[in-house]
Amino acid sequence: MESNKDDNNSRPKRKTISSSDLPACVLAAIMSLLSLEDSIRASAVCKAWHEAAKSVAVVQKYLWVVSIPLCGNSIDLFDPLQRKKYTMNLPKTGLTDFCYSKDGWLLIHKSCSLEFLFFNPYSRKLISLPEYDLKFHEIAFSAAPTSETCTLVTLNPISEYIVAIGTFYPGATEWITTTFQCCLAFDPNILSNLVYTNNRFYCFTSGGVLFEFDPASRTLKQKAWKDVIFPEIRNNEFSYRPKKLYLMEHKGELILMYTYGSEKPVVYKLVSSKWEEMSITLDGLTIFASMWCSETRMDVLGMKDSVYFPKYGVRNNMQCVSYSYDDSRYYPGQPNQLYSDGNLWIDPPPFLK
Amino acid sequence: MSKTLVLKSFDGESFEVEEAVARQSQLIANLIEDDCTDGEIPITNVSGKILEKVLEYCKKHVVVEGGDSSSSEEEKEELKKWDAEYMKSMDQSTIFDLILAANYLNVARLLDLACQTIADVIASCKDGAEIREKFGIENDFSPEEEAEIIKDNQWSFQ
Repeated sequence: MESNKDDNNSRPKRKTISSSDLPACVLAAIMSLLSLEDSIRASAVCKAWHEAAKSVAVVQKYLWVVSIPLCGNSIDLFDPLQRKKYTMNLPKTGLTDFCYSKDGWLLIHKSCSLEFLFFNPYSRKLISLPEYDLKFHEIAFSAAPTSETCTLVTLNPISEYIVAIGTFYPGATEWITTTFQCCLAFDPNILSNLVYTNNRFYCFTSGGVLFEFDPASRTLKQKAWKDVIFPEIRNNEFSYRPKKLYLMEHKGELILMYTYGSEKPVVYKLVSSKWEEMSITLDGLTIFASMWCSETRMDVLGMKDSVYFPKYGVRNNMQCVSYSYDDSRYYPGQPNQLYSDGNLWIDPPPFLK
Repeated sequence: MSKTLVLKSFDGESFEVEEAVARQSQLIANLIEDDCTDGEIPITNVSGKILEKVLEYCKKHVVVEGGDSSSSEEEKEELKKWDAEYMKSMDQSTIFDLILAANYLNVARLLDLACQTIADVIASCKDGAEIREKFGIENDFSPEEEAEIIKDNQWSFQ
């Protein structure tokens, strides 16, 4: 059968098809599937590839350290790679403690008080919250308080099987608290921080139980695993060593980390209902861990496969404490202590490229 | 009561397929919605050889399209294996042809699969020279331009 011989330009030519026949949008789509390093390599191949790679290259932003010096009138912002510190005044005095950080917003409160505030150091906006009359163990919020969907949640284990969860929506006048009876023990030995993903808040306990709270339906679910009970954390044998559980997420998957003294951080990822240990590499991830909340970023040049702690000092040339999986060691040196009291990680200033 | 359509490639090959299979092409789905078909649709931009490969993918994937949550982990694994074998059965030129066809016909998942295959080949190369060799690409940078790019990218290769 003879093929049509009309001169339709969009008809694929009868020759070997190569990448030069691809429209720019498709070439860009291919580039967007590459890791940053691969796309940089690809950008050096030819002009068309260079254009395509550049159009999709996004330099991953990393988090900054935010801390409150003792006087309580200002906060310090520290860029861990550039090692530069910026100080700014707080619009209100007496604020001394951070509780959580997300999307460039901080949850702060006055010491020894139940008064909470949201603060954005970049826009300098301050949002007050009604007093919360119960004490809590953990607190977290899901998104910037200026967004429609922001939910604030507190977790307070009252006893081994009873937990109280408080929720607040910015714009409302009061907190709502619900008490839950749990079938699995809330083993309050060590609790992780709360993390928000997939429209739910999660918390992990050293007893190997994951608590999942759905604020929309106000329901609490629990699930237990035997293989992630960490003996070093549960044994009181080494009770003098600080132990900490951190919970975070990456693309909707939960990641659990624990530190024990200043041993190598142990990291697990929840994949298909199983916790898989990430012992040799973090697959390009950077973990920004702190006392109250932790986040992950992918493909941050110069910080990959590492865990960063918000602790730095003049004595160590302002280098942040970090653990590198590639080099199997801590930088700048074996730390005595992993976290400074109350320092958190925060998104960098939005105006930076 | 499954309707069938006939798709005709530019080089005269005809393929009869179920409507549900053909609908995976957004282009064809739109034609069906707009009632622009009388049973036979000319696909002017795609050869018979490539159209056959596209339809092979669409036929395999329509079975599972009932809803993602209903397919088990096993079924998903099976499909992944099939996708891998499917891509391996084609040489590079055919894959590019397939990409052009999937793009034109707007079969999103096939386009993603084929692009990922190409991305994987790029990722497996250790430098720009190897990429050029694998894809038969000519270096059209001037020596100055090339030096500039290498300098710009220096900071990333720490």
